Amino acid sequence: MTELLFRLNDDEKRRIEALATPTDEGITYVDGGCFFAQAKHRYQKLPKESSIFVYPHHKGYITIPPEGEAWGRVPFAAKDTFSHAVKAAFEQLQEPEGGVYILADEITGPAEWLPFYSALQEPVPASQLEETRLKHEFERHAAKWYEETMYTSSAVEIVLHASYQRIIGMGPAVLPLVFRDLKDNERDWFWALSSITGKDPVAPEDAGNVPRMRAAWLNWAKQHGYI
Amino acid sequence: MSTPNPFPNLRSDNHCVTSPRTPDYNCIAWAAGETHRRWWPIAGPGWYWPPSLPKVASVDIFVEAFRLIGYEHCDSSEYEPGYEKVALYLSAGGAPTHMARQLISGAWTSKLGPQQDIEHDILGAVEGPAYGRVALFLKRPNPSFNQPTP
Repeated sequence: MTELLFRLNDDEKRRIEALATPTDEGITYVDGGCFFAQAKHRYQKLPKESSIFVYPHHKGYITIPPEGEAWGRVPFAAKDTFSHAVKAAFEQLQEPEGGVYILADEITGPAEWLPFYSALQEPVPASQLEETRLKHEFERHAAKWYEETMYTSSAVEIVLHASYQRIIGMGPAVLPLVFRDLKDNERDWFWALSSITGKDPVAPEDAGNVPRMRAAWLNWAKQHGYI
Repeated sequence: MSTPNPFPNLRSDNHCVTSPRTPDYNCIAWAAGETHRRWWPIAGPGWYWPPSLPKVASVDIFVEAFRLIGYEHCDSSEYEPGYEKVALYLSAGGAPTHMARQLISGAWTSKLGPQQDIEHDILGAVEGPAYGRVALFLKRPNPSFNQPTP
């Protein structure tokens, strides 16, 4: 059995749970991979974008719902129930012309997933999927890092935070997102940028001078085509 | 799981915000009297630390950094006419987390990481999960601190 999770607030959760097809088997998580589909919807009370996480049996990208978030659930235990639940969910969530994005490294689910694929619109190119997945992961980790270090002066606590390290681990692909955040939100990415690029364009005498460090890195980003 | 209140002792009647939020300096710089760069002893890019000192975040190294700008150990946080004081906070594990600086009024001023400066009546106001507990005090002569005990 697989579980379909909707990232929703309590009101939305109640609405979506009304779509669920009851089963005798309850809800069971299936580890090993997921689809992440992001669908626009037409309900005024819902956010403009809702996230739908589907955990099938495959070796795709794994993501974990953030702690403390409410998730609507559509359980299903059999092929027909699954198909019905997914289609019903998408009919409710998706605008007729709305985009649906599947984020998965491999779409190799069991046979009962075929109705799911047919319920989706044309998948976006792989490069765009990866870009969207990376952006989602960056924003999630950046928010968690900032929230948990927002009163901290300790450089060690800031740069060794698990989410900060996770962003560093995303490698050069995350640089455009980091530079945009550095420019727009002025958050503290100097250590991460140096770790990812192996460079430090900041003059030694400007160490710790945030405006000058920011200017040096943004200038470097322009020279190297990141912004 | 909810995040614990980082400052359980901070109340509306024992502190006030005295600056806009800015990441341009941090609590150590603020305690040292600087607002154009942030201080922390870390072997890597992004922070200033006096170049003659090791970049090790130990209590001794913090004390040495403040010795370079005229501070020496003292026994208490009590206001002493003629002296400016700073206080160092340590985590439960003994790691430096925060510094506050005494004002001429006898109150204290703290920069909350990359957030605002606040003025707080007592050092305990910012004790808690974020900064641990105040552990030691340093002072240096400052003629402007010459008014009677507040």
